[in-house]
Amino acid sequence: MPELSDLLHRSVDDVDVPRPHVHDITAQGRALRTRRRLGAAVAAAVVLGAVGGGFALADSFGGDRRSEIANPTTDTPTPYDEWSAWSLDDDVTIGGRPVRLPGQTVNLAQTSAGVVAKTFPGDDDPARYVLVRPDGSTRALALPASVPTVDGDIAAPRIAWVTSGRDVLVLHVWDVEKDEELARVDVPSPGTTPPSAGEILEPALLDGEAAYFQTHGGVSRRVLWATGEVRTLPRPVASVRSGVATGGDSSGSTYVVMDAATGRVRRAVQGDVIRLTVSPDGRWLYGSTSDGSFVEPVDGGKRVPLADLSVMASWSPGGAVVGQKGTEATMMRCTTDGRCTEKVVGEGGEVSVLSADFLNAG
Amino acid sequence: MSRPGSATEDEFVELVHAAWPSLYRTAILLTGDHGLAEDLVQTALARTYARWGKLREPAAARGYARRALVTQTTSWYRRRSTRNERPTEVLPERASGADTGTAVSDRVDVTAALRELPPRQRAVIVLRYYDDLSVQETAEALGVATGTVKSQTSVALARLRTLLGDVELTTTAPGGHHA
Repeated sequence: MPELSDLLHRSVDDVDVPRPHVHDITAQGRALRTRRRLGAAVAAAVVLGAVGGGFALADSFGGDRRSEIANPTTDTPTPYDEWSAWSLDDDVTIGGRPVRLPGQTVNLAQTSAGVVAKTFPGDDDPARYVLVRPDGSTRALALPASVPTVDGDIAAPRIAWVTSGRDVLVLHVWDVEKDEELARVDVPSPGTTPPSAGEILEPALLDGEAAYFQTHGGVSRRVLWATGEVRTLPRPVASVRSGVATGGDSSGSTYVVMDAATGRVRRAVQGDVIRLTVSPDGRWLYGSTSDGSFVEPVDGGKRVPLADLSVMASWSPGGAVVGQKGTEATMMRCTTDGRCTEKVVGEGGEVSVLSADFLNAG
Repeated sequence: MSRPGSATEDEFVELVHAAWPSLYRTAILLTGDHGLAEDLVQTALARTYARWGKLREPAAARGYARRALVTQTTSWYRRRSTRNERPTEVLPERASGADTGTAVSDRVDVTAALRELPPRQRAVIVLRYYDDLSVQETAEALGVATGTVKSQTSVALARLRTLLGDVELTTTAPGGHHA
């Protein structure tokens, strides 16, 4: 009976290893180091300019998207706005209020009406979708059990997902308050086949009237779900809120910020970024690198480190970043000025908290 | 290429030569592609060089390089889109070993099975069972919680056993604990 470790070693230990190009490596390293220093200098210059000149940076994306953090509104944010939702063990916590759902929760999609929890009541039971409202009440949704992972519109009571058929992907949009389907759009996708054993783990990203997903072969689509209009974008969308999106550049090596409607690149984001998401108001970015997490303005500017915050953190509806503190039984809520507050959620020791908008594939 | 009298530069060159083979093989298992593996390892070591001033301890530098490699690989897959990368019940018709440079027909093609796993699960398996990292070390390399590593390991092993059909795997995790 073979050992997995032995199999892995036997598979590659006799592979011919090319010689390293040390000169190229150090040259690339120097360039990275220079770029990092330049980036810091540019960021410092922007801050100095803003302070010294007494002006505010223009919002190049237009509109009047206010950040509740940068420009506090007179509206009182709800606990759900501030703390979003998460799952630990058998409990879902929304706005600090624990709610017991049957079985394991594997996904919490944020919407304006609360989070849509995907749960498996028993080991052999099909998935169920439950709307967990900010007041702690719940409603089982009438979604088919075959629905794969959904994405929520953080500013509207809607979720979306895609299903696959032969040479087609089907976008579904669902109203979680009325518990009914709002739209179904067939999007040609030559080469796509019906699901066999698995499921499409990544949903369509939903932002207002538009949904974003990729068809077979990596073609990035923007679909206006109410009208069925389909547009091809030049690159995949990784995160999208309020018409602002992030995604990889053409080389796939750098994240860019782009206009979600057209895919037009606004700027590249510096650093070895693993994940980059847009705040609900479209004015801030939350990013993670191998050196830690940060927030920075969408248009560029001062990068604010968020120490101790897990990579798996998400934007709350009110515009704060909420995630686990390392592996501790503590949740953190960090505003875009870098200030964080903590909430103890367990009795200590290492725990694994499922943040909103993440999928527990295990 | 190193400047005379520059111990730092010399140490880095030593690190490259010492770490390159194992990083390259790890990258082969993660990607199944020679060219991509070479690019990813080179970039990971370049990032290590960029941090060299803070990473004089060889063990720390190796750890940083490995973490950078995993980060680069995960990031590459994420941007390339994994939307159509779905688990399947059986291996493709041709479980090619060509990318690994081997042609041993009587060998269990575990690399082909690995390629059927989602990138994160693949990384967990490679780090734990090829690089012999502990759960904690794997979690640190991937930037995730230890619970996630455990659950991803469990799912990935189950999937591997399905994909490899009648081949029964045994797994002894680092530290002697059976997974």
